Amino acid sequence: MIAIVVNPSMPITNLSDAQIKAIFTGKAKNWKAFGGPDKQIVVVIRDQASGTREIFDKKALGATDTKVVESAGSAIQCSSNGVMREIVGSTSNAIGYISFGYVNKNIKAISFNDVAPTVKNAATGLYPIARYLHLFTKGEAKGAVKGYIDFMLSDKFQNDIVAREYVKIKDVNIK
Amino acid sequence: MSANDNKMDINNLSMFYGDFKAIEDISLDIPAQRITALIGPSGCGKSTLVRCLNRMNDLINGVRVEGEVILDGENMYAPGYDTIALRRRVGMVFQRPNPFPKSIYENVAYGPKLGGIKKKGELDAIVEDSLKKAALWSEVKQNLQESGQRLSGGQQQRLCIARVIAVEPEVILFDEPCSAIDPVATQLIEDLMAELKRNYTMVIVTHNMQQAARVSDYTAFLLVQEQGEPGRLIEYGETNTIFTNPEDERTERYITGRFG
Amino acid sequence: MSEGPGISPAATMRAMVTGDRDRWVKLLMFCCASVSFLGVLLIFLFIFRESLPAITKVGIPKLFLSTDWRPASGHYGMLAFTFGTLFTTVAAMIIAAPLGIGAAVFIDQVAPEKVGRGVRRVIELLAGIPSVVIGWFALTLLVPFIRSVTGSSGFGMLAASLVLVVMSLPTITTLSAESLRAVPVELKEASAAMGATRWQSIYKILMPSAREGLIIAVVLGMGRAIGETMAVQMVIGNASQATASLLQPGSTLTTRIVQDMGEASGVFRSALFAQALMLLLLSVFLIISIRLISRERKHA
Repeated sequence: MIAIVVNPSMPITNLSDAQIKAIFTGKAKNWKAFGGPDKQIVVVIRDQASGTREIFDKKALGATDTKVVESAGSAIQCSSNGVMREIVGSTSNAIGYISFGYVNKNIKAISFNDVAPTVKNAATGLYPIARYLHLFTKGEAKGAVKGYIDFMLSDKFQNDIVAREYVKIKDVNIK
Repeated sequence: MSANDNKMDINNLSMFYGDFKAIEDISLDIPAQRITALIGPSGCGKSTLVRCLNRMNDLINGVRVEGEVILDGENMYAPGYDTIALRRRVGMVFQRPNPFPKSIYENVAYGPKLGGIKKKGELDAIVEDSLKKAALWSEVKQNLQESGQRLSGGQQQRLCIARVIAVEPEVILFDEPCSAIDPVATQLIEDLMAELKRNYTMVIVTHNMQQAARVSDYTAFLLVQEQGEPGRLIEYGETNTIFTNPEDERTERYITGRFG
Repeated sequence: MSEGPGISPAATMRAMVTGDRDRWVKLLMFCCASVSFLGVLLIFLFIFRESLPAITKVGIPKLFLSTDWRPASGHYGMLAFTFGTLFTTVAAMIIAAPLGIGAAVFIDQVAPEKVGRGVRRVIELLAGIPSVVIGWFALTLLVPFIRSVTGSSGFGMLAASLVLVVMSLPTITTLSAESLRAVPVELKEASAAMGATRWQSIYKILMPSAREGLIIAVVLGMGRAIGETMAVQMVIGNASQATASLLQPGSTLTTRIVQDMGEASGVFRSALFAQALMLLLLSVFLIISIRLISRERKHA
């Protein structure tokens, strides 16, 4: 799942899909319109090659395979979650999006359409900016590949590793 | 020769490049409005000596001077002496013609401009006057804006003389001024020096003894006796005497071409 | 490739034995020169060929003269990046040229020989630092500094220009010092003998005498700045807008290429090659201007 993040000093806790779209396409330029300070909005996005950007553009901005939504020309492009966190965490008037596992105290994840970005909300499908991470095999998995998949689906791996940054597969409950 | 007629008095002058002593204990008077020639074999320190007379050696790292050079009653090596002002009073013409990569006009106007003269009319007059005194005016008056470096070697040297004259010095030092130019141009420069003698005190370094005999009133002979020793003054006197009846045997051997 | 065409070892031996070595050395040199020449030519042709689809499909005006860069919806205007390249380069030169020439004057004219040599070594060392290191340094120190002083994001044209100052400074300084050293010592002496102070000599004689060399130093520094990629990409913000504001994020041609080449295909990819073509044209332009300056110097 992807969290929309702002600087902790930004007194904003929720933005609607229309507001997000206005901000990320460059139509809205000042925080004042959203109840924030009278400051320019610094939009931070990921580069073209980023999967995070692809999902964000689709699920938050409403892009489809045939209809693209162009990000603001003034948006800062960064090429990793780490840099994203660094920029948003240190720029008081920045907004960006980040893979949920990277959220820490330096940045503030905000709600989207009044839904908080939590594992529970993502698992139930309430929080929409999320995706499945797939494993692909050539034909039916067998041998070591099968073992690897079994390991990833095991409770130990799901509890110890996945739960730290992602949503466990058995928690996913999207109607 | 009374002291009053001397423009410069060189007293017990020695000069060192680091640890190496280039000239030692030279005492010599430079009479006003006369031409004094410094002669001697290559490496005898005559160029070094002449460069002590406007403190050009200050530009070289590690140079140290002992003794004094009195100009109009003041020691130019005294602490706090203004070398910038000194060099405007004691001009220099170098071995190789070295006009600036600027127009003929700007070459001559360089010194006056440094001196703070800005008015075009004033500068024009100085440029014309200096070029006339350097016997170059008639050759260049049509193309004052051309680069000074496009002139012939002899013309370049006269341009350098004009450049020096433009700051109205009292003394002009010539460091082998004709060694890089042809005989006809040399003749012109020598005539020019004779002309300038009325207004300026001049010192010329030359390794051409005929030239020294032709142009100078006084001649000083310098010599390094043994390899590695400093250059010393061997004999100094009126040019006529030095060339016809030298006191020192070494002077005689030199001017008759038997060594050096 | 290991053997030249038709040159057998026996023939080579015979040539050596008969003292015909010159011809073989000449041939070898000719081969080396040909390889370099052909390499350059091939790069040129390749880039041109790869950018052809964009040139034909998008058209020259919309490709080269438009600032509209939205590749996902088929807009491939590169002008914003060409402008970014020129803007950051010129901004960098405004600082680097006086700084570099000033340092050169210091090294060659003012400082005691040992100090001058030391400063020179340090500046040459700067040229050897990989650009990614300088970029990282700028990312961790310069960008936060700009951010805290200006309240902007810190990323943008200013950070990029300052990085380019660092990148081009060694070129400008060493070449300027070289051309100052080439000024005949007689000119310096003549100026001093006219009663000029050291500064007057430097300003009125030395620098004008070295003028062409100093200009060439700056132009080569520009070449360095135009081509710089990694360090700039890390701090410029990589926005697709055209901006002349120092605090706004933007892109240069090089950073746009490296930012987008990973996922680009089809016309998008070709449009990036067209940007490479633009870069080549800028370099060619610089090289021609150096030729012209050198020719002027020879005629002077």
